[in-house]
Amino acid sequence: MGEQRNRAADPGRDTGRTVALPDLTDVDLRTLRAMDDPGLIAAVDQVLKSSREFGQVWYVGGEGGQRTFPVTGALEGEEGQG
Amino acid sequence: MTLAAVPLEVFTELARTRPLPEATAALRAALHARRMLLVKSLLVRFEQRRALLAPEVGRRFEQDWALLERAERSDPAAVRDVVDYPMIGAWLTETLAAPEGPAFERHLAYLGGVAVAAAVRAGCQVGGTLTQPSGSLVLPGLGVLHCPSGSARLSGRGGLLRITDGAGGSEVILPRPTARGEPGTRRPVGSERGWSALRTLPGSTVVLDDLDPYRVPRRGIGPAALPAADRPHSDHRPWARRWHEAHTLLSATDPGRAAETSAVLRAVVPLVSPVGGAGIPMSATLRSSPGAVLTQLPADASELAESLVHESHHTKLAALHEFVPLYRPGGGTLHRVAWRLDPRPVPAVLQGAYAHLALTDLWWRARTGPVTPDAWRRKATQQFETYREQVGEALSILLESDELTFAGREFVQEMSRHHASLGVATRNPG
Repeated sequence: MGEQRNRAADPGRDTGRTVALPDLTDVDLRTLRAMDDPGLIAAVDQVLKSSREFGQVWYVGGEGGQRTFPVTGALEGEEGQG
Repeated sequence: MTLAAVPLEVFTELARTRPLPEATAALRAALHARRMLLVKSLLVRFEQRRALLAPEVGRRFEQDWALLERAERSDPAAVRDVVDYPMIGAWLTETLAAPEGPAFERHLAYLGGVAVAAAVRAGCQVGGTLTQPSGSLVLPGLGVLHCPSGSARLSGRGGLLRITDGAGGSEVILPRPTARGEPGTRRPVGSERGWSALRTLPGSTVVLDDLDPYRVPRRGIGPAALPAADRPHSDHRPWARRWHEAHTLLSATDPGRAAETSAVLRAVVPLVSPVGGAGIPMSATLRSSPGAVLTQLPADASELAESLVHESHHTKLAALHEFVPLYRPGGGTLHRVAWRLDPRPVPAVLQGAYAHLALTDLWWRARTGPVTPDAWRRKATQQFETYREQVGEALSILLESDELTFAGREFVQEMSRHHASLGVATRNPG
C-alpha cells in the first residue's frame, strides 16, 4: 500500500493537504505509539477535531418502511452528521 | 493510499459492486490502516490529558496497553484481528468524542477487555488483577464475564486463560483458538459460571453480537431510536436459521456474492423488533464500525439476504472512501432520491446509490439465474426494474455533481457503466 492523504478543508482540491500520512497497514502497536511523523500527527489532529463526524449511521427500513419509494416513503440515508 | 495505488481491476470491480477477493483484501487493509489511525489518536489524546486523569486510570491504561503489545508480539495476526473487530471502531470513536473527565475515563476502561481478548487470541501468558467497576469484563468478539466484585483475576499459560471474578462468583477458562480465521473461543474449557459467549453464525466466522456495549449508539437507530436487542430477546436459533437460509439463497444466486458477504462482515447485531411490526426490517451500518450489520430479525431468508448485501456495500464504500476520498467535505447541495423523502447530500446519495446498485445486480442475477428458487425469482423480477430506474436517477445526480473528487467521478462513471449493462438481455453482466 502506498501513502494515504488527509482530506482537505479546502473544497477546491481533490486529495487534500499535501502532508502524506504514512502507511499504517503493517505497523506494530509499539512502533505506532512511538511514531511522531508529521503526516501522522496532522492526521491525528484532524481525527481529534472531527471525531463526531464518524458517528454517521446509514439505515434503511423500519416500521412500514421499504427500500425504495416510487412516490412517498422514508428511511434510507445517513443521520448523525455530528 | 492514493487512487494510483489501487489496481485498476480492483477499483473497477468495487465500482461495479462485484465481489473480488483482491478487492476484499484491499478494503480490509484500508480498514486496518484507518483503525490504527484511530488507535494512535487515542494514544495522543491519552498523553495530552494524562496529567488530568486519576492516577489509577493512567496506571490501568498503561497496564492494558502493555498486555496488548505483549499479545501482539506473540501473535501479530491474531491481535490485528482483535483490533479490527467492528465494535472496537465504535469504542474508539465514542472515546475520542467523549468530554474530558469521568466519561472519558469510563471509556478508557474498555481497553482492558480488548487486551485480554488479544491475550486469549494470542495464547500468551498473563496474570494479575483487572478492576472492573462496571461489573462486567467485555472481551470484544468473544463474550462477557459477569464480575460482581468489580474486579477480575487473570492467570494463563499454555494457551489457556482463566478469568475469575475477584470474589470467585464467576469464572471461565478460555482456550486459544486453534485455527487462524476462527474468531474466538466459543467453547470454554470445563464449566463456566457467569460467562456469556458470543456465538458464530452457521458456516462462517461472523458472530451474532448481542453483548458488546458499543454495538449500537446510545441514541438508537433511525427515527424510532431502535435499541440493541439483549439476551434473552436475541435468541440465537432463529438468527442461525435465517443466516443459513440466506446464505443458501445467495450462494444459489451468486456464489461470489455469498463469499464476499462472509468475508466483509464480522458481526451481525440484533436490533429490537417490536411485536407486530410491519414493513421491512430496519438495518443499518455505522461508519465507525464497518463490518457489522445492525438489523432486526427479518421475516424470511430473502429479507436477510437483501440486508446483508445492502449493508455490506455501505461497509465497502466507507472503507474505500477512507483511503481514496470519493467526494470533498463541506458540499451543501441536497438532492431528491427515490429511497428517502427528505433531500440528501451527495455523500448520502452516493452511499444509497451504491447499496441499491448492488441489489439491482443481485436482482438481475436472481431473475436470470438457472438455480434460484421460484419465489426468489418472482421477487427479483418485481424489484429489478424499480431498482434499476431509481439507481439510474441517483447516478444522474452524481454524474452532474461537482462535489466528487477525480476518483469519485471515475468511480461513479464505472458504476454507471455497470448499471447500463444490467438488464441488457443479450449480455451477461459478468
